[in-house]
Amino acid sequence: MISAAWLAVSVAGGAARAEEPIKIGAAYELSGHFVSFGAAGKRGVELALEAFHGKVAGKPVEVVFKDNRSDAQTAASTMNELIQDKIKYLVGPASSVSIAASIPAWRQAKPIWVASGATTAIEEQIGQEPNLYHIYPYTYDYQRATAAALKAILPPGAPIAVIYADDNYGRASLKSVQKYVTEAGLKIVAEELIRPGSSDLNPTLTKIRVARPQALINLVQAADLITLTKQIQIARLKVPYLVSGGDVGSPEWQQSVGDAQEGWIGVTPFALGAKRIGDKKRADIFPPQDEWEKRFEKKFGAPPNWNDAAHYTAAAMLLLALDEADGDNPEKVSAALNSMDVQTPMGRGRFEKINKTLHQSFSDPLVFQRQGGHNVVIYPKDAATGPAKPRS
Amino acid sequence: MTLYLQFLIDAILLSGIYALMSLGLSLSLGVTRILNFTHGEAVMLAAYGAFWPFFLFGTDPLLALPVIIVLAFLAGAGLFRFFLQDMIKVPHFNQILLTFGIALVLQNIAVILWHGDLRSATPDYALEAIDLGVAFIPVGRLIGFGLAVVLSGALFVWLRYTFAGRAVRALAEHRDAAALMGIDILKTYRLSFGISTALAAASGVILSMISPISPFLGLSALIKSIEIIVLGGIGSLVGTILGALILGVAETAVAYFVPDGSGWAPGVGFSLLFLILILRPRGVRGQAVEI
Repeated sequence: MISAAWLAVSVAGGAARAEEPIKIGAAYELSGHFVSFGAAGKRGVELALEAFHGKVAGKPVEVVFKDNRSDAQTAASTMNELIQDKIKYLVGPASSVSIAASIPAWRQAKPIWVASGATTAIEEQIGQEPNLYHIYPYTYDYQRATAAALKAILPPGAPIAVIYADDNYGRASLKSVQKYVTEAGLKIVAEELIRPGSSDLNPTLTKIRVARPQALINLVQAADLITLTKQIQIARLKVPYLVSGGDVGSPEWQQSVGDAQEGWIGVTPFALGAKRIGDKKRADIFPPQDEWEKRFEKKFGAPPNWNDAAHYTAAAMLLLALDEADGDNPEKVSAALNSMDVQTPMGRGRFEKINKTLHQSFSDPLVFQRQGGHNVVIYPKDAATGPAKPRS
Repeated sequence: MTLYLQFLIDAILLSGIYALMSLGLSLSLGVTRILNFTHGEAVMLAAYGAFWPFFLFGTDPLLALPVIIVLAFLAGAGLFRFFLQDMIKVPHFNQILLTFGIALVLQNIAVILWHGDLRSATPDYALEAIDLGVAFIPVGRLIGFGLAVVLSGALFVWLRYTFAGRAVRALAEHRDAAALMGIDILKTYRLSFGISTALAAASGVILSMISPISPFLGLSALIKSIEIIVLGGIGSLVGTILGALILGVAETAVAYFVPDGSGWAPGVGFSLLFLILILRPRGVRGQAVEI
């Protein structure tokens, strides 16, 4: 009788363990300065989970969302919490600042981390770590592509001005801009710093006007880029080419700046409306891009931006690896990620060693220009859909 | 010459918007002695109130402005009636906690409803500028400045020449004496709160056009407003306008004339505050009321 009771308890306990969900940690900027990035991160993860119907290899998945408030200190403590909770799989955060701040805490246990952000290089710190999978071009990839595109448009020695934000992204990007723009044979004639959250940028624009550049590279993001774009328009700054990063492709920026978006050049691994093919084996997870965009818009009521695509791709690749590894087995999940080769909304999803990052995917962004309310890819040539046009 | 003229234009226009944002807080604090932490959220909610009709129906924010002002007035008066009326005589700390709590709730409701995405209204004139040849005047900010002049002028006229306005001034000066004169204290408090919220809302409408908005806009608006009213003298409306002017000019001057100045302009406010509090602890104009 005691044996029967013990057996019953064991079976019940076993059944309970079998239903224990696989936990994925997702610390994002759900408030604060980078809330737009974090919101996109959450959307991407939720859509990916929906694509898998909440389960991998027959086991339920639970995503543990945490808000790092776009603050470095909070990012470190949220990562710490996830590590203390013994969570073995991570996605997010979305901003370079938060990812960099999370690294020391991550080192405690080094769970598998599919990092879908950090355009600023974290290679020096953890690029060689086998459990880090970086899904995103680094800022130097963006700036390399930008410089190459400008070299194709402008004559040698053309003057270039730079506005950069006083944050991790701005300062790190500036170094890459200086390197690649100089290598491209162009000349930097002005570098102006702005503080994130500044409301009045006319003083900076007045100084830029004096420098008379042919192109202005804006190393600012989110709200700062919206403010800068509007004020450039109002100031009637006569610079033929205005350049920034992925924000130029986001519907959020485009809606916020209205007609001021015309002529802006952006860089992105994901361009809305591009004709990417889906994955033949897992079209349910990675359908053709237009179908994926419709799926996103149906759930969230607005078209996706590059951040949505990046975080969806990161979460979906991790879930796919969990599925292929038959559940909660970090070694098998890692092996699955290492051998993964899928067609995603961001292009070919395959991890390989690039520069100092052991597992890097999506390092060749497209350079595009907003023309008549549409994205026109201007670089590289083999992907170009039209020529670049100077602002009138 | 161009630089100095542009600096002057930018400084004055910025000061006007700052004045509009903080006058209401000065009024409510001066009259009720309650530091209203929901002030920033009034700015935020009004900004959304201007944005959504523009986004959904193409309604110009300036057309929505009168409606938003009226709604904000009613909301402010209602806030006082239902949440603060019974808290007049409790310690200030309790009052602050209550208004802070309400502000957090409002912020979170905004996050749930509208998420954290950045928005901005883009009527054509908001991206235009009046070209003076040697300088330019941004139209969006000019409208904000004009609105600040009109509304603050109307406020001063109302305070000086109407019975209700004089009652507000009397109450700010000496509550017990005002009560003895037959002034309805609670009604006057509600009126002050309503006007305070309406002024905040007007600034929110302008902000919706000239800068990106999010549910977290309120906190920065509140902090800026507190800086200004302390700088100018707590409870003094003239002091608030002076404080806004000082802050607007100082921030713009640092941005224009200090190398990498745009990187340091926001810190100017706190630096000025420390300086003024050391040299003139009661603010530039002198503290008008005792809290």
